[in-house]
Amino acid sequence: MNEEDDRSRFEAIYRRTHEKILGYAVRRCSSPEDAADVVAETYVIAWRRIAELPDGDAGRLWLYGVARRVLANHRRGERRRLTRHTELTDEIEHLYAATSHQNEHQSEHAGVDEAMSTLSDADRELLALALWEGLDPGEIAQVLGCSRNAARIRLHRARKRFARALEQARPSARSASQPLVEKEAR
Amino acid sequence: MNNDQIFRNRARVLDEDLTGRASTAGADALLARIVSLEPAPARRRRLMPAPRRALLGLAVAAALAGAIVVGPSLFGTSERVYASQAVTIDRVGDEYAFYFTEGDPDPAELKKAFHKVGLDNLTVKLIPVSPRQPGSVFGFEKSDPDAKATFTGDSCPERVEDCITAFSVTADIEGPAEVRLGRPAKPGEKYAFPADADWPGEALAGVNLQGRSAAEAARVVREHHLKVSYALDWPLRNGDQGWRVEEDVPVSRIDPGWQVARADTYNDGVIVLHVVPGPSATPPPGF
Repeated sequence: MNEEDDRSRFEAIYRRTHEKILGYAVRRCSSPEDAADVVAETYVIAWRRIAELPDGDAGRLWLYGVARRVLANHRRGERRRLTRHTELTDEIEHLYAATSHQNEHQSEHAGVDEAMSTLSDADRELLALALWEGLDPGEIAQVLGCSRNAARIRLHRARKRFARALEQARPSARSASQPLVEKEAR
Repeated sequence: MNNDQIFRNRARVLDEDLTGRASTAGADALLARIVSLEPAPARRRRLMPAPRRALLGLAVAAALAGAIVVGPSLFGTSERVYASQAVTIDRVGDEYAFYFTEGDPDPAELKKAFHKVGLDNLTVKLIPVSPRQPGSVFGFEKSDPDAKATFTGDSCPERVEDCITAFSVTADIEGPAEVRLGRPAKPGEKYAFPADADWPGEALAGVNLQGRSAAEAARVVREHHLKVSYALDWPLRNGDQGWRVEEDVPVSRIDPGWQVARADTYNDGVIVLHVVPGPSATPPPGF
């Protein structure tokens, strides 16, 4: 495949997955700059490894896996700014501003946020992949590089720990939390 | 509202809120900049020889344009929990980060440091690797399936002065775990991780065997008064790039006309010729 073919293929994948990867980054980063960096670095890596980037829906899962590692590097303080992307950062800033109303009623969410903050990063990421990205255990397994069964078990445990954390943060949430855990256990 | 909905509602945005974002001016500009970068050529992916593959991974050093501590709101921050002459330990969210300031630390001191943070079952082993090894060699063996370790040596000088190498592990490791870090081998010392035999300073410095027939490569190796052993690089059957290595293959199973993919050395007088099986070769069970 020549470079022109690579470009066409990359552009098609970029257009098809951009909203997903943008969402992934925005939901996990506390600032628009970080989110823009994660999106940009994920696609730079994808371009540089275009020969390894799978076609179809597997490509989206592969990109989630890359974005996850990029984000982990950011968390460790390792940031590689490989492109200028000020326009994208500006647009994401507007996105953050538009969604800031969610924080206006912070007290309502305090218990939930507290419960989420007590989860391990791994549990939070599992729940996020399932509930924010809408991935099933088989897809989560592809992103995390584990077996489907391991993903299913870990997701079940993460849900259980989240339910327990919610109970501790908001005792009144107990009744709502029980059925979900039992359903997952079946 | 069930717990799934409660969690879902804490998303800053949902994908459906982002419709049309793939073709904004910012998305277009980023795409244009990325495709103006040089794509990396396809390369052979090196997997570990079978018994060691689960134990060791090769962490390749990467140049960083800058290092800024980024703390997404839901993730933990860094806190120093231990420091000695040999090792500094930070707690970073769910992980402990270890920064080594001595190249050959006293195991007893490390044990004491790990004990201080409750990681009584963690050990660190420094293994000899080629002094010419680009990047760093890092491995992790554990019994806890959820335990993770990450090599972070590339960024360590920015965190701790005089830091030589670094890694982080999940703080709630259960059961025994061993981290292995590469250190330059002493002269004559056998490597615990393979090096390319044609690197400068290695046994076949400057001798390129890639693409030669197995018979010809073996002849060249013997001309250098070195012994030959064989490994077969079986292509992965799931269609992925890369291959799975069958080690210690007897010469009787090597077709003299098959091509050599690479030659490894452990600095022990033996060259391991990695041979690509011909199209009609039948892989053994499990390959």
